Amino acid sequence: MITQWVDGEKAHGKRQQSQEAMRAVAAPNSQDVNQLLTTLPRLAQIGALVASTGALLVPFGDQLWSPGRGRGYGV
Amino acid sequence: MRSNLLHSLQQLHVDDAFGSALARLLDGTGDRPTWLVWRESLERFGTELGITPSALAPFLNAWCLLYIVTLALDHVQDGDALSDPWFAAQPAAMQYQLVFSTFAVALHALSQLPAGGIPPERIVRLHARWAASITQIAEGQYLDLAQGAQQAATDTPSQALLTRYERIAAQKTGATFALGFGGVAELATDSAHVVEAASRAGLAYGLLLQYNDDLLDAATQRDRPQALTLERALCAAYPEASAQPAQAAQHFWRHVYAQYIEQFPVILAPLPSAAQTIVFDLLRDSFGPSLIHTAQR
Repeated sequence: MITQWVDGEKAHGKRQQSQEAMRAVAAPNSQDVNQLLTTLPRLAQIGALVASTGALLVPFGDQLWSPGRGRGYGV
Repeated sequence: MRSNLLHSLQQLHVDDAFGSALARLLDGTGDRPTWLVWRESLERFGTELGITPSALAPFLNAWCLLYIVTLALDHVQDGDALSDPWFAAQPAAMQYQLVFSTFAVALHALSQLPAGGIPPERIVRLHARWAASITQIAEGQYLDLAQGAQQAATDTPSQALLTRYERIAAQKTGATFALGFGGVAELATDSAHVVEAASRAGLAYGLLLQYNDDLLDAATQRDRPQALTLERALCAAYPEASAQPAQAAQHFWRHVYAQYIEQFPVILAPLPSAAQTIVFDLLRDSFGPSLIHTAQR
């Protein structure tokens, strides 16, 4: 009975070590898009800036812009 | 490239009729699909990071299948027009079954790793990234479907709608492309900086793709008042945009694109210059050339 309990504890310890090792290689930061999003320009900030200059209602300039391949491919 | 996906299917040894049905969904209408362009870009991106196309193939097959299935699910759930007439003619239950089955094939394709002598710890990280990404995509789709009801029931502060729209875009299209680029880097290198740079580039590209797609589809989406679109979120945040919503959204997109393009050299800095060029080529191909030259200088 005691041997079984000791073996169980050993197995539990090994499982924990294995899980910790898996977590250590998983590098979770770059998997979380919400965290990555904080490092990009944000729509609300760009919107506030653009609206404050009245540029929402006037053309951006003469830069070219083509529809490209993107149509229908957002999910 | 397309044959790689069909090869994944053949390896399942499934019933002929079931296999034919899945192949129809994967094969689409017969035109060269855009996901092939992305697959080729991701493959070249991987080559510049030092991983061979054959070693990458299982992941790229899985990613393409994930993209196809995510797009199909989104179209079915949104009631959008389905481009493939055979898939469109199926009853809803069969459409969902084919979507689920294609996801199963994607998992099967991923199970073909390891290939090409990739170190096992990279495979472990890739599987963790895959699992985290599909969870985010699932959550994003939930938020997208649920937002109509929540919008009616709550008094959402105006700018919060823009932020909510951005978050859904990040968790759907953004997460899909963050997985594509980040996953390639994960298999190619042990450098966390390179993997993070690739993931950020993928997220930024996916967001631009979603914003751009929304503008191009704005006219049809106006018939779906429950849909949270860039145009609708912008008009909620800035009522003056409502006078000319289509023009305001297009002007806003150009400012957003300009801000993003300025960020790309910073995002891509940890990557080899040839890998950076592949991303800039993809941006140019997808959204037009004008601002890219400025950013690349």
